[in-house]
Amino acid sequence: MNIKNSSILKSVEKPGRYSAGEFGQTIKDKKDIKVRWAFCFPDTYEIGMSNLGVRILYGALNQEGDVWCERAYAPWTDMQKKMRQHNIPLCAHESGDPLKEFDIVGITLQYEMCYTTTLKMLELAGIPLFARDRGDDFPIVIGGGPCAYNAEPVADFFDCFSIGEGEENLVEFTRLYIEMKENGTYTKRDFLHRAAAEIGGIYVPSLYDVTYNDDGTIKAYTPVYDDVPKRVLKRIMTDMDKAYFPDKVVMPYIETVHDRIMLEVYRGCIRGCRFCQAGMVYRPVREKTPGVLNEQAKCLFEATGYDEISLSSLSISDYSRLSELTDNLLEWTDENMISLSLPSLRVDSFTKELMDKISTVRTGSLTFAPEAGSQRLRDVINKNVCESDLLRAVNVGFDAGKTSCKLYFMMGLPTETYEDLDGIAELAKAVIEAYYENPNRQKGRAPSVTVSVSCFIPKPFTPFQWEAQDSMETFVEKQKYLESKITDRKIRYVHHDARVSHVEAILARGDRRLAPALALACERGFCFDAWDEFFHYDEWIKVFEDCGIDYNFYSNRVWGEDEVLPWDVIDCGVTKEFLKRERKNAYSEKTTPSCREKCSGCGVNKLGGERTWCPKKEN
Amino acid sequence: MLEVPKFIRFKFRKVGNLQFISHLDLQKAMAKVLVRAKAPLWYSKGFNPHAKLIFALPLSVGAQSECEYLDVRVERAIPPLELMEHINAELTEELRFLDAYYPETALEDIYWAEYDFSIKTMGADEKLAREVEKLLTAEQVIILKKAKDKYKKIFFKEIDIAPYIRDVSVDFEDGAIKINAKLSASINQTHPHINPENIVTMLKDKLGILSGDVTQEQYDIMRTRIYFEDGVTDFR
Repeated sequence: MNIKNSSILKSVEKPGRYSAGEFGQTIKDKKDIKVRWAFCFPDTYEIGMSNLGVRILYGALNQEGDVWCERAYAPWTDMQKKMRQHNIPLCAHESGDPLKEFDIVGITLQYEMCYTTTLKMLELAGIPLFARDRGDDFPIVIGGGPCAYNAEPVADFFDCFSIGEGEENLVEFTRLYIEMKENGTYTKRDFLHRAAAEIGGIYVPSLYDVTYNDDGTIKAYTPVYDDVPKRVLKRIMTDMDKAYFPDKVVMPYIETVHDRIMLEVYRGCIRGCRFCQAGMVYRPVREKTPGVLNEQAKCLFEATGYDEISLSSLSISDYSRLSELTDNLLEWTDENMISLSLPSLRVDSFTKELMDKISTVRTGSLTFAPEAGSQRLRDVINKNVCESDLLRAVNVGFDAGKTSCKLYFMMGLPTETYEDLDGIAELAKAVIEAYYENPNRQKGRAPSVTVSVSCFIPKPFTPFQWEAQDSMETFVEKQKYLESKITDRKIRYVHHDARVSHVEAILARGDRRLAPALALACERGFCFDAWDEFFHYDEWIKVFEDCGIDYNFYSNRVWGEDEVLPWDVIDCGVTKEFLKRERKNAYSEKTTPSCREKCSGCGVNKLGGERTWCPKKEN
Repeated sequence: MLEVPKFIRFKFRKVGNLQFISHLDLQKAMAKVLVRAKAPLWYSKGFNPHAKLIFALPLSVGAQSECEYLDVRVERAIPPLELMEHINAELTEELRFLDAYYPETALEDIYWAEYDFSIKTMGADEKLAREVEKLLTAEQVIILKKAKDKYKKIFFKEIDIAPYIRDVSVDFEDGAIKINAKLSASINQTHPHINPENIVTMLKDKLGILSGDVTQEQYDIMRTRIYFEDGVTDFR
């Protein structure tokens, strides 16, 4: 959003969100441009600017000389009000031109709760919400990001989705658009048809007919043309060393959520936590080599001047050459006053050697995610860590003078009993005891442990995708129970709002029949549902009810393994057989070794990939 | 041996879109700019080393300036203008360094700042310009200044800024009221610092201007020059 009217900017909160003009933004001459892209992040500027994926795709598209990709963010509610008041449409950040005039509007879907903000952005832009209402004169609206793996609830609002990693297919998509515009064959319908048929990883919802059974489950997804794939296979970058890397960075002038260098170390995850969608859909693991990473880090430092490098990945301690990488980095980071941070540490890999290298640990508190309270339940979810790992890890921290520790858990996991909840309280107590037994602890200071408990949400493409979410009553009961078990005042207990998790679960496994509800939510002014202050559970329920939707059908039902799933139209590489096998293992409390130890046959190696750690592939 | 000068003084511009960047955000952004420009920054010794940047007169959000001053502590001598070139390579037109030198004065010597106000408001004419002039050159010029009590509660107190405003000229030009004036400015509390925004607020209250359609009405504030105590000699 780029607003030139200074009176309006002077009347809103944080006008720096809208004023643009950042160093490093891409400005192009419109006369050289054949396609104008608006890359939208359906949340505030501060959050959107912190997203690494947007940064990569912004750079990748702008590498094309005849393509100009700009950014757009959701204006905060005070600005939305002014825009409505003065008939100002949503505009792109760089040029200030209305989104409606663009060729392609891309929207990244990072979390389900951004769906209402997504629709609000389209509404503010003056773009009809439903794809079927948009003629050839409107921009093509394409979605992507993690939620695109089951984008069925918002499928009616999008012309198409990019499935998987978009560095290549968004460029191919854009080139096809240019080709058809230039040779005069462009119609929206023909373009989408060709894109679906010719470009890997492009899913066009309108090219599939969906039929339903009498019990409300899905009967079939049928492509309307023979040359449209029955299932859309996701795209990946096979060699991360050679993948496009953005060496020029847009530098925000106002503070954003992640004001630091994010160095993407590898994609995928060797673990197979059974609740985790990212761990499945981002497979296979593809590592970058330390030499390449070191050069990229230097390049990012010179381009940004940031004083912190965060090594980013799903589980950084699983990077096979972490020690070599950190050593390489420390050779030049220290003298340049740059600190390293590792945001995703597993307890089984947290060592003193590692801790000495990373400075955020020096200042911040320790954070670990055992996810479940008992060993039994940790085996069910395949977390593959045990209590002794956790105690060893916290002791490393206590040795170094740490006094506080944050533990993340999940509630409502399949097979969970009240004994498992007791385990959460006991684990927290064990950490407190470990502190007092540690001879090297900071004398004279009391420890503090924060226990943060979220609610389990069954997600597509996980072994738990068929599971029911606990009912609201059960969640509340369990939360109260756990609260009563935590009596030590050194332990702070916080839990997520089960009501948000409930709506998230409905949307996560939703199908196309939810579209009217989302459109109604938008009409009723829903926006920023990821923000507590704007989330209203009762109104959500009312929206579902007013649309005649049995919402618990999506969230609180055990789905049949032979059911057609809304996301069966997408192929994320991991097979359904593997997910079923993993679900069975969960119920028999059997763990599955990591990819590096043994291949569990998830099927993703058909996609290839360099440095994947897949034993079935030559590395 | 020659002593290494401790600070380099920069003069810079902050206009256009950059007027909406708060002082705190500017400080953080500037620190990164200096690192990108490979400035030989001096860092404090200690657990959390940090560079030393002293900004002369923080601008409020929504005010622009052609004469911001920044002192940066360096650990070794470097030709200031050469460093300035590197810095400008890391900046956009709206935030641009205009001068660099080893300072011989203290930022505390700043006493006056000159501003251009441009007010586009309904019914602006020569008559309104004269009314504005009368208000700004009266024997008493009362403004409401934001202050905090000992409980940090914000309240407004009336102060007479007549002694702290000088060389006022008001014109009606291109459909806008143009004011040029010098306001007392101070980096510490040795003498009052008058926020130019207070002048606009005072005019709004007294004359009812700028109360209409925001798409039609607007005002701009531009700081143009900084002076020593005499109000005539340019600060350097």
